[in-house]
Amino acid sequence: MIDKRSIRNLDFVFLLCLFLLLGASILILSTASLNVLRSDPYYYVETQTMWILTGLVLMTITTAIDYQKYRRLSWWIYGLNIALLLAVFAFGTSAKGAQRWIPVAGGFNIQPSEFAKLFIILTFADFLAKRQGKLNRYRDFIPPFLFVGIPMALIFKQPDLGTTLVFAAIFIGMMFVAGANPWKFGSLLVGGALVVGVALWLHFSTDLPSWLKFAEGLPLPMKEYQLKRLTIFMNPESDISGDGYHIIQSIWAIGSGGLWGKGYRMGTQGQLNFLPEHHTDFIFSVFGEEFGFIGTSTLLFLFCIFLLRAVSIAVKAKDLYGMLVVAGIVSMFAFHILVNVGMTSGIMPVTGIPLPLISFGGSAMWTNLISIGVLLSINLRRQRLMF
Amino acid sequence: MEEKDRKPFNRRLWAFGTVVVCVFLVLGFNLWRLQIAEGSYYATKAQGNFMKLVSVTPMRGDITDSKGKLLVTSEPQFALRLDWMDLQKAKNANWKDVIKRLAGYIKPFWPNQAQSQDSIMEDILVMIQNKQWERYRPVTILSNVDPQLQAIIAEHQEELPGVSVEALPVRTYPKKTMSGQVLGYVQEIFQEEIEQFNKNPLAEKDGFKYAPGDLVGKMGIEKSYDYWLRGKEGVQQVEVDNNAKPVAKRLIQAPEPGKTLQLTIDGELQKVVEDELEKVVRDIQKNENPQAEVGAAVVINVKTGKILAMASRPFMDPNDLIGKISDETAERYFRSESAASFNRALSGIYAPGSTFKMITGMAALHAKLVTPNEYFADNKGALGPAAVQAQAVGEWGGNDFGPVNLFRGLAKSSNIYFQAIGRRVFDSNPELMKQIANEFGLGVLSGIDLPGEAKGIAPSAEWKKEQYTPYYDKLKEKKLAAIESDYSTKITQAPDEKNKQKLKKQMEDKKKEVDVWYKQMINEAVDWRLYDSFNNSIGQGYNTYSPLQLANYVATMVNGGNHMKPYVVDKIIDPVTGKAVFENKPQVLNRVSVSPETLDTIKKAMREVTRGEGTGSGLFYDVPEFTGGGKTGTAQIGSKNTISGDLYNGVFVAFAPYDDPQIAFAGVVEYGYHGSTSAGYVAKAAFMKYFGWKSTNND
Repeated sequence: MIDKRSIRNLDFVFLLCLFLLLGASILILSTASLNVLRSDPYYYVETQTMWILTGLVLMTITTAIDYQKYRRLSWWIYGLNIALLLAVFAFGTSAKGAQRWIPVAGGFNIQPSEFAKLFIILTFADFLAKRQGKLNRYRDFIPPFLFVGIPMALIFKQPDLGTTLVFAAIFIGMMFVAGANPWKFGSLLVGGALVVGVALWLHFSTDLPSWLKFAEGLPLPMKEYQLKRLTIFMNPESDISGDGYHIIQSIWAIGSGGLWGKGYRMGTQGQLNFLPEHHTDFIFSVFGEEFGFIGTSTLLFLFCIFLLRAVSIAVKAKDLYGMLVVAGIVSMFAFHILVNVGMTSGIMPVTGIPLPLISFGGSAMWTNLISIGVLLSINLRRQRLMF
Repeated sequence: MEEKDRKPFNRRLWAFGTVVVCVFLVLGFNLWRLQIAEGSYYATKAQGNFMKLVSVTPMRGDITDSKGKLLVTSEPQFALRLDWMDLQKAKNANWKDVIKRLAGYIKPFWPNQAQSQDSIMEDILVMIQNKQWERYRPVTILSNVDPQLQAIIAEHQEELPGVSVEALPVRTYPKKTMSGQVLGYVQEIFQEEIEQFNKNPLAEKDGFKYAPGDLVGKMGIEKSYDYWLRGKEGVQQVEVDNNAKPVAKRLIQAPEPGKTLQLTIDGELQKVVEDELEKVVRDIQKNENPQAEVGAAVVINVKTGKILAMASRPFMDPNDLIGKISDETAERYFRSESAASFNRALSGIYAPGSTFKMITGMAALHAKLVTPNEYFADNKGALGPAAVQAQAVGEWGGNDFGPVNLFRGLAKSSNIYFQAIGRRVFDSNPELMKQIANEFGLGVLSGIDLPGEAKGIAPSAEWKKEQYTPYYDKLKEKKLAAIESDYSTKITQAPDEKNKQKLKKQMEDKKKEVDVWYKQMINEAVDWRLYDSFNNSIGQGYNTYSPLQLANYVATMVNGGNHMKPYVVDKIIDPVTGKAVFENKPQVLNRVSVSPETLDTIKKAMREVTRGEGTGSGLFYDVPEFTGGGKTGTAQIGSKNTISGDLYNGVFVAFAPYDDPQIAFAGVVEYGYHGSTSAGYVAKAAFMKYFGWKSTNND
């Protein structure tokens, strides 16, 4: 199935970054999860290692599969995706007020919205590739929007605001690379952002002038706790004991790390439980606290190289479909990193988005590694350079 | 894909890559801001999150007598303690279960037997909650733990994490009532006391601040030397997690134990004095007056001012005043008339009676108004005509001792003699008597290192004026105001000018009447009168002094005229090095103005009291080794013809030996009547003990 010589096509810098990041995940988790399950401090490290190993197997398999085969199954995948997301409502178990999980055999749960991200990338790339050069008018944007909008709405309904936003990021990144008219598409994005901004402002306003009084407390299709969490980062001190607490503790953790950090397992914020969810969403704070700016900048640098190598894979891809798939995957990773690191350091809303390849979690790890498998498949079957 | 088709896509892909790099730059910059630019700010924030500083109570210092025998110490008492921290740290136990189990084990030993296990558990939880302000210190659940319960707890230690039976220092006074009021006791500080304690110069110097919940000395040495005794608190650093659950503790600064105080008080002498005082009062209760309760005595080193013994009956056992005080205890110690917490030797004031006569004698000799050998006939006739006699006090039982000079007069305690010479003193200088008394420490504060010293009253004409004039001034003002208001309405309502003038005249007359009344009252009650001279010359009238002052007055007479500052703490010793860090040195407060010859004459006269025909001659008849002198006193408690008019306190002062006197004594026994047969016995016992004298009477 694979031409042995084509192994040489693989981007080894990209792979090196990947393994360094996975190693970092084990290292960070070994300190960040130390106090989560006191009876078995290594439970999370062991489980994560298992996820990584199985994930790498899945990645290898995916690499072997010719990515172009997905194009023929595109609508099937799209349908499966919708079905899985609907299944969450039917059989899902809820956690923290949201239904996200489908129980499967062996006591494990899967989180369809994680896989939905990859499914949408694969199918949307096919959708866009077929519409090459037809993204210049405003109305050309409607079909792609609907294509992504339907699963996005289902995820929003779970509710899983974070993943919804990831979808938006994927959508924007892929549309841009696919050639959507940058001015028209850009103006739509800015317009949309303004609408959302004004709506939020109206929702939280209490002292508007009389001519705007009617719009005060504008109802929004979101739960109040989501809205509060979404906006609290702008002023975490306003709710120190509630939603603001997590943000403040996380900022203190990262800030107190200083240049060199407090040392492996020496962090007080994480080890003494002041940090919430410090083995999943807030794992970056533990890392920042214990490894300092040296650690965080190194990790970000690794991520940056990793994503830039992915972009170069796209540049060398055999076809537009491959390019778009890579663009979607890079959008997904970049957005995850932006929001996760941003929320732990207080410049992004808290949306419950894990740090890819680092945070503890099976569904996310699998999705990420399978995505990378697809990426490698594209890399493997890249364009022959002509000299 | 053709190369030319790829071009726009590649351009867009690199633009896309640039956006990604920008994302990382933004994130990186923000991290630089947090971790480098503001890193130290957040470091202190995070530090404050989990570091709590908790003070560690030091061991309070011991108090010993002059020979190093322990009077006060902190003894370990077994207390059942619950360490919240250790309990929380226990991995395999639910803390609520542990407390419930504990409640079950201690149920049979719980003060309230009727309580169920659950209600005891609730009590324990409340205790933990109430100690929130010292959450990281263990909570005492039960003090003075029964050995049986100790065994049970030890046996079940495994299932009771955080529970321990610990020996905690509790203040104990092993000699019980001995010198109880001098030692004082320790209790939690009152809010309103904090400021006063903070004013201690040593505490101020160290920047130490007393805080609510602190145990402090409430009286006696425990109070005046509190800052020395309490030591320095240590600091323990406690690490807590997000639930304020402690996870680790570390001693940063070890507590410094309190200093040991060595007193000037001789424990054995103190015991003899107290025992004899007890015996004397019991005898009076049995034979004379069942209501007799009160007595006080002081033994002082005449050369240094060191207090060798200081006793006050009813005695106080400071052990009774540890922890929660029952109503019955509070009644006995604080509320009843004969409250045992009152140090009568220091804070009680009594009429000195005839023990004051040496002052009168010295004042007269000093002013050269009499010579030691000038004789008076011992009857009222010697005082003057009948009008004068009426203001004087007669001799006991109408006695006539015949011709009396200074020596016979003091030996027989002649009222006539001392009224005669006292009158001369008051007539020539109404302030002299007071001045001499003050020089000997009577009616002035000595500055002794104990709280609550009484000042007493050494009267004089000026003193009397200052004391009583304000009262009559006020009364006069009131009367005048009443007349004014009465007539002002009448005058305004008067029908015509003529009536008005008439009323005005009436008003003026009434005002004049008040003036006359006022002058009369001043003359009678404020001005120094002859009977004042007589009364105060023999230690009655306004004279009141504490036993401590009386003892120091005798000491000053026999030590050559140095009024010494009395003190009870000899040395302050560092318990770690065993070296003295502070020593109270004898201190002369003032030298008396009377001449050494006069002092010697008075000393001789006092010797006559305890031998021959002296009023105290019987006291030492069986102690041939005794040399020295004394003076008996019988002080009338109330005025004649009142309920307490025929009640008399027995007062006795003495010194020994005659040549080179060492110690002086003063004692008062309520309802003791004759000084020599009440307080005198206490003096005798003290002298025999101190000098090792034996009685020839072997009965």
